[in-house]
Amino acid sequence: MEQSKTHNQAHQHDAHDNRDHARRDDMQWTQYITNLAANKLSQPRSQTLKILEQQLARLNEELVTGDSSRVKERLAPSGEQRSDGTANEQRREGDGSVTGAQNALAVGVTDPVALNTDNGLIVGTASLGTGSSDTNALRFAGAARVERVNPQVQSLNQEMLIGSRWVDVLWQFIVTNQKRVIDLERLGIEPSERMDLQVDMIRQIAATYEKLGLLTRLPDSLHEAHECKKVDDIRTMALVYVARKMMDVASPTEIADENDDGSGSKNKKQRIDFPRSVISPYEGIRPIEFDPAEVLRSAA
Amino acid sequence: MLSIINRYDEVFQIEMDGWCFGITNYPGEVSAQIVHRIVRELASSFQAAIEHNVVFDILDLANKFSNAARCLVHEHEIAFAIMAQLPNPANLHEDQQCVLGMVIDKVEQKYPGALETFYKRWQIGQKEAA
Repeated sequence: MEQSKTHNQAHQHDAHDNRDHARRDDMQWTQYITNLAANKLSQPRSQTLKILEQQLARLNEELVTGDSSRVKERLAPSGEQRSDGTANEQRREGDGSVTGAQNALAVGVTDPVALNTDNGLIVGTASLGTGSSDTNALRFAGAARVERVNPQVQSLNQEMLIGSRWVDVLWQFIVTNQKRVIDLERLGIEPSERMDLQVDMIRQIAATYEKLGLLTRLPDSLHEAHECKKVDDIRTMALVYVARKMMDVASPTEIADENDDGSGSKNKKQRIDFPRSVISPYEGIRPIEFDPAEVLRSAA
Repeated sequence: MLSIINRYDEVFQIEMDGWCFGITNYPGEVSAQIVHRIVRELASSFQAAIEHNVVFDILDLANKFSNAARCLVHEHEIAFAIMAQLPNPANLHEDQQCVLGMVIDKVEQKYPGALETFYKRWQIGQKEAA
């Protein structure tokens, strides 16, 4: 009985150590990715993405297979590797704002929105510097408040935020570069394919975090189903538009009936052949309150 | 000038306008990805337009999509994305090839090198298919 108890305690202790190791590995890994992105920004974009992708694939493989020692060796900056998780935490909290600024630079975000003081505040409170959108800032701000209130939730939140933060940081990096660099010389690869490549890269990172148990959600934009649903909704709206156009065209009998109702010639409808040319198609149509499900139900 | 079959130009126009209407009035966030996905979905419409001898203006279409997406994606990029969805000329009849040539010519005039880029792509695609 006692042996079993001791065994269980040892097992729990090992599991706790493993979690600590995983957390430290994750921090070093994310730091490595930041440095990598920062170092490679000076290179041509496609080359940067390629290198980043290769590195991520290798890291992902090693992290998933659990060979953390190799990861640690490669990721630890010379002379800066900490043997203590607490020290890492202190360094992270102490250098929060600096790290945030570095992150923002690393991801190539130089616009004022990305470097606003709100994000700086988040960096200071939750040691997070996403350099991301205001929405993210708000989300992180909310989480940061939770951290202050409930210390027990702190570590869990930090883990979640680290995971989502880096997805957001890399996502921002990619989106920023996508907007900034329209690489016309390299359009042998079509833009949509380039975007797919980038999304795959992000998914890979996200998958790594999921496997590490550090990421509880994916950004909505990364969910293919979510994207498909959006396109479906837009398609439905397009169908609504076509349907409206068709409704504008009364049948010959309807026109005849309405013109004979004694209302005079002022409100007479004119017969329009369908299909007809559309000159200003959607400017005159007011926005509609749109519920695709309802539209589909009524259509059925 | 080749005659348009079944007045497909009007059908095509309404379809494109419908998509633009959808993008413009969609209440949620429209990302660049969504726009690219929509362009990819329109591949069959582009092919149908060419098969019906419709010489549509890619630049105008790209401009419309770009405006509908609140300029999130540059019209230049959309124009090339649309071009990437055009059918391979090797799979078209002579008349349709002529229509395709006229469609691409408008882009080529504004962005020299477009035709060459896509000619290479199609050649690679043809070799892979073989």
